[in-house]
Amino acid sequence: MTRPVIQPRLVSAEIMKIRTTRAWWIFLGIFTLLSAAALLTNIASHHYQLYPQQDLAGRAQALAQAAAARTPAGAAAIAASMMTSGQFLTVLVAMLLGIHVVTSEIAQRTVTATFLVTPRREQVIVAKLAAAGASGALFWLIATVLDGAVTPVFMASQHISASLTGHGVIRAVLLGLLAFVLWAAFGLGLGAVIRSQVAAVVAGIAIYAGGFAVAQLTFHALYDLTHQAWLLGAPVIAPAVASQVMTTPAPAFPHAPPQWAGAVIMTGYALALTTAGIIQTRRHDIS
Amino acid sequence: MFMHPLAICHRVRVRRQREPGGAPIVSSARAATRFMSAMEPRRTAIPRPLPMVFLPWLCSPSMADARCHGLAASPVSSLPGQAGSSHPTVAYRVARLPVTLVRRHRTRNDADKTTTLRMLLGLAEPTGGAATIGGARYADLDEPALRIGAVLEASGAHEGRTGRDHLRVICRAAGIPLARADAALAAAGLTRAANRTVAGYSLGMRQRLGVAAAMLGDPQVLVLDEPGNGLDPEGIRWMRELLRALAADGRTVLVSSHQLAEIEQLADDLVIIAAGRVAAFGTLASVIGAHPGLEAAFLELTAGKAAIR
Repeated sequence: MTRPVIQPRLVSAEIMKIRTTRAWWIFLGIFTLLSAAALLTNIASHHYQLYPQQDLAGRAQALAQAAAARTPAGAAAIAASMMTSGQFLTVLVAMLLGIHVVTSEIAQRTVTATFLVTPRREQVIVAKLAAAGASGALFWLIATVLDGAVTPVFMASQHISASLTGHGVIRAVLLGLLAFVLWAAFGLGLGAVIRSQVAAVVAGIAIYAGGFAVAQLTFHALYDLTHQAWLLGAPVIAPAVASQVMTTPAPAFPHAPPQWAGAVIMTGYALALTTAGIIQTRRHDIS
Repeated sequence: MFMHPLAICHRVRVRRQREPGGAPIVSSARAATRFMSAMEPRRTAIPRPLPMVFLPWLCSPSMADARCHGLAASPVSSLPGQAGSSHPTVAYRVARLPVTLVRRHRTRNDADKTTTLRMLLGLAEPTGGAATIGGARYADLDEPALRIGAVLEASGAHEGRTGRDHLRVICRAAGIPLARADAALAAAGLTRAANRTVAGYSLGMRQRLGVAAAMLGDPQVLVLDEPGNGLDPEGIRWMRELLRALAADGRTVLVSSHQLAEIEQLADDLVIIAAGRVAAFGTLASVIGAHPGLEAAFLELTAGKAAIR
């Protein structure tokens, strides 16, 4: 009998697998601490943006920036930034969870039991994808609740006001949700392709951080040589840069491509890796 | 290099032996009976989608009186992709059975018995031919967990997950009521350890957990790889009585093992594989023949074909 690729009971089983080991609580703890730390850093950053220090060398420029930050548009940008605090770093936890979801089964040899119950392996990977995506969404929810509780208090304390339900803020927050889900899928696909837990974690962090740095340095060096402006936007091909472009309402950097371009590239990576993971999982013998 | 017996406990002929102490084994299989009694609610909770034979070549009623219950095997003389290969190959065809397994191993360390079972259960892909159960690949079976239970490793459970959660995850994935997990734990004598992580389980407890997991779906066929590994004498007896009672209950039990003395007490039919080829097959009595026992028969049948690993 042909069954649909997505089976709710398999998704439910995969969610149960995630939350019935200690690793889940470790992930949650690390994520919450990182989110809180990122929020505090963001608070300090925006405070000094609004109240520049007196001995600042470029005091005039800083005061101009502070005045701009107090305009409605500036306040809305601060609100959006606060509501997505630390996202550049915390999506990494979603990626690591995605890696963990698939590689822990191989490391712990539970994959045999999993494929005995569900021999159609693509169904298992799709269920894991849904479970990892849901976990990524939960991370986003935790961060958003935390940010949502602190942001109004901070803005009031800084004597600026902006609606947290404004178009710009909602858009930033929802694109953040997409980022968490896509990074979880990215990690899952990477784990399914590489299979080794340690190797996948190292590769994931290298692609995330190393890819970001290498893309920026390479294309800037090429720009210095050729002075082709499009090269300044080309780093978007790195996943971390694409994610940053996708979630940043204002241009993430000079000549950055539009947000949709970042979203398309990031979605492409997640889809490609997940597909490769399914192919690899189907081909690989379970020993 | 490779040799092992595959033993089949058949529902039709459960041998009634006496243990050294003289107590009849089958009639004293209380532990196994308790196991199945405890699992009883499952029978009404989930209708079996296909209440029919799952391995017709092993347990078709029409073949019940056949000498080997439909089990006969012969080496396959020519196989695709074998020419020039120096790698060991599992290659045998079970005559009258819709099963052909062909696989060229990548390394000499690939044990053929476990790989054979893994091919049968869709976990490893033969490089040629097909492994089928009742004419269908395992992967093509509808709800395989409700038809075939398998214990290939001690428990197959995550070290950091509790025994109860391990079973509940399987229940959830297979569409079995979660309450069945507790019944299985009780039947396996693991209720007190249910909320402990598997890391704290002894090997014997892990074997019991593995059997409990395999029986969650109330399958008609049970496949076990070295079920006696790591068990103490009490555990071995528990396992033996359980398997015998399951066979007596009309189920087919396929056991792969090197423990010949245990197999001799347990099996109705045997397939002995050496160096990836069938060395002998048939009923236990026909395989033993004039030899004093299974071990003697095994050593003679496999002499010169490979060294025991």
